[in-house]
Formats: sequence, C-alpha cells, structure tokens
Amino acid sequence: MAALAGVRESRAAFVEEKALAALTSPLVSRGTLLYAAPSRLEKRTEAPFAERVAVDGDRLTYERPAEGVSRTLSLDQTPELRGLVEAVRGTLAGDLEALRRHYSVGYEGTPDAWRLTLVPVDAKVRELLKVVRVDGGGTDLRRVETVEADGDVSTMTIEPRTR
Amino acid sequence: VSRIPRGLLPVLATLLLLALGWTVSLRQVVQVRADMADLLPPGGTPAARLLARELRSGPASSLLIVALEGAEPEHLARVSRALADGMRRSGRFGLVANGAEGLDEGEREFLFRKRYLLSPATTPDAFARERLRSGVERVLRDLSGSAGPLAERYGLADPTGAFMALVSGWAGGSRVEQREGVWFAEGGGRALLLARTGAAGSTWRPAARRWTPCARRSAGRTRTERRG
Repeated sequence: MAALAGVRESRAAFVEEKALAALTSPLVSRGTLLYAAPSRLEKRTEAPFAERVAVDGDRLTYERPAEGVSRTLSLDQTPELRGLVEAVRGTLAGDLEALRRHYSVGYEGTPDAWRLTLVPVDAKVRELLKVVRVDGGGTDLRRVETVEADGDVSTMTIEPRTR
Repeated sequence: VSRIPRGLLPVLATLLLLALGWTVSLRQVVQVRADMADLLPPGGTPAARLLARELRSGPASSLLIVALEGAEPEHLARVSRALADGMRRSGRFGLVANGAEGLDEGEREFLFRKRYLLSPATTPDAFARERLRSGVERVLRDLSGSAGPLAERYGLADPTGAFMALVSGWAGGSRVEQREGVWFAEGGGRALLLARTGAAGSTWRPAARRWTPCARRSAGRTRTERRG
C-alpha cells in the first residue's frame, strides 16, 4: 500500500470482459485508464464505442462524444457507484483507510503478486455488488474482477503503459 | 406608565378597547384568503375550469419551494437536511425532497411501468421492426459500456428506450446542482427544498408561516453545532 501511495501518475491499457446473466456470450470493450494522485481517475473506452468516465474528487463525468452525451453527477448521490470508484481509486492511491470506509479488505500474496479482496461494508451496496478482487504486482494493477449480486462478472485486465 | 398623567388613563383605556374591537370586527368583515385561484375569472371553457381546479387542488396549490441562503454551502446543506428531517417527521407533508435521496424504488418502478404513456419516445413507429432491431443493438452496445448496469436494468425490457428518454428529458433541462449531497440553485448560493403540503387546497401560506420558525430553529441548531 505504501508503495502504491508513491505513484503520482499512471497510464494503462485495459480490456474489459463482461459475462452477463442475460446474455450467452461475453461483451468485450477496450481502452485506456489514467490515474493522477490522489483523486483523479479516468477510463477512456475506445471500442466498441467511444466513452469517457472521469472522476475527480466527488464529481463523476460521463461522456459519449459521438452522441453529445455529457453528464456530471456527485458520488455522494450514488453510493453503489462510489463503491466501485473507490475500489480502483483507493487501491491506486494506496489509501487503505479510504478502502476500509467502503469495504472489508482482505490481502494475500506477496508484494510482487498480491490480491485484494474487497467486500462492501454497506448492506445496500452489497445488494448490488458482491465482491471486488484486485490483483496486482508491485505498484501495477493487473486485473480487477467485479462480481455483482445477480451473478454478472466483469473482468478488467490491465496492461501498464509508460507512454 | 408613571409618566402618563392620571387623567389620561381612562382615555387611553377606552382607545385601546376601541382599537381591539376594531380589529375583531375587521377580522369578521374582511376574510383573509390565500387562494390564488380567486384571482382567476370564472371558468367559461373546460380548459379554464381545469386550470382553476388544478390551482385549487392540484400540485400547483400544495407545492412549496424553500430556498435557504446566507451561509456557506456546507452549512446550508446541513440546514437543508435538518429541515427536511423535521418536516418529514411532522407528518404534515406528503412529500419532502431536498435531493439527498433520489427517486425511491417504488417511484422508479412506477415510472418504469408507465414509461410508454409518459415518454416522448413513444411514437407510432416506436414498435416497428427496424426500430426495435436498432433499439436492441443499442442496448447491447450500452451493456458493454460503463453505464452497463443501467442498460441491464432498464434497457433489456425497454428496447424502445422510452424510460431513458423520459428520465434524461427531465435531467437535461434541470439547472439544479447537487452540492454536499443536496439540491442547490445554479451558482451554489441557495439550497433548495421542495415540499408538498399534506392537505389539498391552497394551504401554502399557512404552511410557509408554520415552517419559517422551524427553519430558523434548524439553522440555529446547526450553527451552534458548528461553533461547538
């Protein structure tokens, strides 16, 4: 956690695969993740369509440029979204305290190959989100797996980029 | 009292009595009414009658918008929460909303059920084959994106997009901001609170009068908390 807290900025490519109970085959999307300490996080999806989700502090901006869609909302207003954001942001920031505000945190492995198991503290959030597993090595996130209460599983594989 | 000459006292007393009597009789003669609908001409057409009826007993007559101002946003937000809690607990209001809670499950469910009646996206060709096909394709695409859970919940059962068109139509035109978890007018100087009085009819003035002291109390309380 302390090592993660030392990272000021990072950029990574991601591939996200969603296995939904409603669909027979998984949905795949890809793009770029950007992080700037302590609280800026951005997810730019390039395929299958352009989309941008940026979080800065408490504000979340959702944009779909092709359709001119742009929405800003407060994370305070959406506890389930806040949970998801904090899982990634809290880990990237190496902020164990922030993580513990939203999750009971389990840690296993070694500094080179670790896994955080995050179970939401809030019962209301738990109705939607069962568990988030974050795998990493050193200061890099490698995989974020989100298991929703209805059985949907989303797996995001992350490849750090230095550019 | 000691400075008033003795002889004047009976005169003053009489005057006082007269004044009291005057107010009492005035009250009996002049009825104070807070009904905006009285200002309308008697309805000749069905539309005018509908308007008059709505003003008397529709939402327009029972809705209050409360603006709280004159302090830092975080303080106003605390007052807004305390006031909303107090108003809810009083049981005198059918609805108290300050943005702290979104639509509840029941309200969302209701709107979703009535989506085709309410939505601007419900057009005669909304259920045509090609339209439905492109609708399903859009839902599939949305499912893969970050708003996937939303698409899953509301899109799969609604490929025409009626519900999302309904909700985004409301959100799109809104200039109300969310700050510190409650509604603020644009610019952040005023916290906003919406309330519907429990009783039908034009009861907004008495309700506002009753609640002003309560708002002051809430403000006072949070102020003391802040100091402490």
